[in-house]
Amino acid sequence: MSLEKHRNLLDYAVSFLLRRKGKNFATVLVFTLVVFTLASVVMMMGSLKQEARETLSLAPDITVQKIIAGRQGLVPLEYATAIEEIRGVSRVEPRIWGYYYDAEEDATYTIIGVESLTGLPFEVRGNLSESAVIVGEAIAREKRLRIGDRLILRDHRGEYVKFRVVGIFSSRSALQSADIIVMPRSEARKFFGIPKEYSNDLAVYVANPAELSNIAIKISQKLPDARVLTKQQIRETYDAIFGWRSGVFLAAILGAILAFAILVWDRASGLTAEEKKEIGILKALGWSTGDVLEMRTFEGVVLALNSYLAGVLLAYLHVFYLGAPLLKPVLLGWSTLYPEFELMPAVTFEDLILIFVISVVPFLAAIVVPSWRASTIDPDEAMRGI
Amino acid sequence: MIRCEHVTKVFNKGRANEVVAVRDVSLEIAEGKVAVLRGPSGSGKTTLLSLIACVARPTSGRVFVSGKEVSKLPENFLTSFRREHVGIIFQQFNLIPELSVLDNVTLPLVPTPIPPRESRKRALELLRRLGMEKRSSFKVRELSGGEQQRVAIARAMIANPRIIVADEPTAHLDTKLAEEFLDIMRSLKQEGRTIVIATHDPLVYEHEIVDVIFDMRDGMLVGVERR
Amino acid sequence: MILNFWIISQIIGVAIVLLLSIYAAVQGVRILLRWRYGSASEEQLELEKRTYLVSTLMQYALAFQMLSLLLFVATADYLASFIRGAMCAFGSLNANSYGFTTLWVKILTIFFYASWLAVNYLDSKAEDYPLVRQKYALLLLLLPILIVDAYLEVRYFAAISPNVITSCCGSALRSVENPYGFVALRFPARLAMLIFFASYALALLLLYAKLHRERRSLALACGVMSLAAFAVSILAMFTFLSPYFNVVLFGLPTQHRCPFEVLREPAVGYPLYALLFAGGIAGVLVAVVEPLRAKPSLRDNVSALQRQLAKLALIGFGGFLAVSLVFMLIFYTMVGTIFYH
Repeated sequence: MSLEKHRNLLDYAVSFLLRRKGKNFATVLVFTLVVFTLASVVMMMGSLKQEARETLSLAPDITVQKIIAGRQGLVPLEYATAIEEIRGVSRVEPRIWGYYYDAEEDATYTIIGVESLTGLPFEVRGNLSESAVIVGEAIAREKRLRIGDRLILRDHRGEYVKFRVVGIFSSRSALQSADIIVMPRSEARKFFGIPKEYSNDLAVYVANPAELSNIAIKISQKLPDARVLTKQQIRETYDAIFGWRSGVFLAAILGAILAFAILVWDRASGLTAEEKKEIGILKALGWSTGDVLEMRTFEGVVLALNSYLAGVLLAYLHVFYLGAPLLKPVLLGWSTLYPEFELMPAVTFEDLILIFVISVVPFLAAIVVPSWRASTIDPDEAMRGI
Repeated sequence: MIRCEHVTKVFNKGRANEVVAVRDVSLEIAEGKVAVLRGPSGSGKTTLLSLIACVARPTSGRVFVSGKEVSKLPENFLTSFRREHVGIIFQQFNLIPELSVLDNVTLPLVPTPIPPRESRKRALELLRRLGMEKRSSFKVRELSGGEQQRVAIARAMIANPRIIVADEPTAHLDTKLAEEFLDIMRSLKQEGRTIVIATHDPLVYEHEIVDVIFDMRDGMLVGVERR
Repeated sequence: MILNFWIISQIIGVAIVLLLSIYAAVQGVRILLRWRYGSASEEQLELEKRTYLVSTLMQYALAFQMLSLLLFVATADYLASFIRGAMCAFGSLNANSYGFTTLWVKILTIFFYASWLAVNYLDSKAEDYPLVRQKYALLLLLLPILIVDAYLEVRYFAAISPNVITSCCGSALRSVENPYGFVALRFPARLAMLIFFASYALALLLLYAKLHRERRSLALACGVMSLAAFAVSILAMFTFLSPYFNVVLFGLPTQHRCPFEVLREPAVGYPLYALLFAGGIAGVLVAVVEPLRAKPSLRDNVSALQRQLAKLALIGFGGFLAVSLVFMLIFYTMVGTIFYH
């Protein structure tokens, strides 16, 4: 078995393609577009899933909110005491947090009030004393803040409050840390004007994960106006969103792929007279059916791989550098949940295989029979001058 | 040596448009000889030539080329046998117009393990011998008819075959070019190669290099003239 | 049932493989029924042309099936986050009884495809088509396995439910109810280690001997030992071998005996399994092609192919062993012992 022969055939296949630029350009364009769309969806889903995974791993076991007239309201602290009484609950933490609109930067930040710096979903260093804040990397960059600088924010009464930056933190997930300001809980309470006996929501931790749903049921029985969210529910919601949205999208895409495969089939089986003649000549010159078939297969592979690479590369740029402007409106129904965020580059080897299997594989499968048919032209046709 | 035993070739067998192109032909061409298949168009000489050149297999009968029975070989063996033993010069030259002269000449060597550098070297040597080395990077469509035929000859010679087969080689050439073609054939004959030419051009079959003429009519062999 | 992008893509992949193979089989039957060697009829010429189509279809199907195996494991890994209790592909595959069965059947189909292609390769090397009948009959044998593969896979995905709790590598491998955990539990790691090294030593020795000697028994022994070494390697990944990778690459605890974890580092995991599969498949094929020696027109080609295969198997198994040893060594420098169990 010699590789040299296959190399020669590959070279010839490239020459064959390049001599028909016009004809192949349309195919490459359509193919690249199909790969681009698929890859954008896969990459975006991968990135969101990564975010979701990290968010989930940090979420409390149960989150309890209070619903007033169908909308989320402040949770009275006696709810926390009531929940603590339920057997199996290990800890209840009233949380103070909220959004802050910075008109100067036209950006929305998340302010989180904490008792201590341990147990935060991201690593934060620094010493939180009164009127001290620790800011996320993105805020620090935007507002050109360094440790020791002053940060002035307007509180709920419209008054300016001075804070001192004692630390800057970052985490792998931009979604979680970029726009966060951490401050002492009492400061946050004052800043948002939340009365002492209330909090935004309650984070409930459970000793035994198997009892999670039981405890959740008990909480909602005890507190009928509470909305109880378990980790599992959040996970299922994510899945439903991923599944449904991507399912709808996939259906549309599959239609496109099918159309494309048919287009390919149609084009590949209809050889031009000039192509037929060339293959006839090659056969007459001592190329076997297998040689021509291999050459034509290489043609398809070269075409497919180029389109694949181009499509994947463009999708990467589109999703991770441009923030998927073409896809967000279609795929991001939950964008209201997260006002603004950048997609974190997260492409795995498996993603690349996935994209390959749903683009290149159907294409190659579609051209097998036409390629074969083209390669069975009789050599004596060239001899007889047909 | 080439031998045909009761060779018949039928196209579209069993259908309404059935054609018997070659009917029960037996002949023998000794090694190093120049043979001519003579006959009007439609006499089956091109089909017989394609059977001798291992381009097609007979419907019945047996064909031996260089001591090997080729009439039953599977297609891939038939092609590789043809590549190594038979060089074919087509009536329409059958060159690929968008390729350079050099690339046209090396075409038969593409599906072989011979590296491109080696096949280019061989092609250039052949082109030099035919006085075409200055044209090697030209596109075929930029060449004259006579030049195109030389390219076709070089291509037929690239695998150094012992047998050369030519189909109506002078059909598109004027007298001077036809004589030049026959001069090239003469030098190939001197190297001991067997040459089979299908033609109805007197310039060819009356030429002194021809050793034997097979007369064809309606797919049948109707006469043999030895010189 | 969870219907998402990954599962749908996986099913598309399987459908394409099945489609190509069924089409190949239909063509194969046609060839099988009408083949008249030596006939120059147009039908025979047409059939000869179709043999090319079948070979190409099968080559594609093999390549796609390999991709499908990769994607299957990747999909299982992806699904892990939707299945309670699952942390990686092991948990997902363990979610119902179809998971691992599908995996094993998939691996089996790859051995079959490779065998068919080896037979086909040899057949195309002889001038008298000596294996046409055997080869297309074999094709018909492959089809049921493929259909089983597709059926199992669909059942597997259909049975997956986010509400069923599965046990994952950490817990499953130590529980008695689980068949795979059972292996890990009852099979002492040191004995597994001994068997692993012994089978490798024997397989490598036999394959090396095959390079220089032509004996029927030797070829068959090569095949048997290669299959054994392949199976033992997989068993090893479930028992003692995977922790070396998992500890060195990810700092996981040694109890974490998951064979899929290493794939989370694609630059190590995929080449590692590629070597193992190359070794296993090439080694088994040495024995598969041995009976074809009976055809006189094939004898020399069989010998030549066996030498190539034995070389490939040596590279595959040798590579897998070498990489494993390197990781054991790094593990040793980190932990201070090889015997962590």
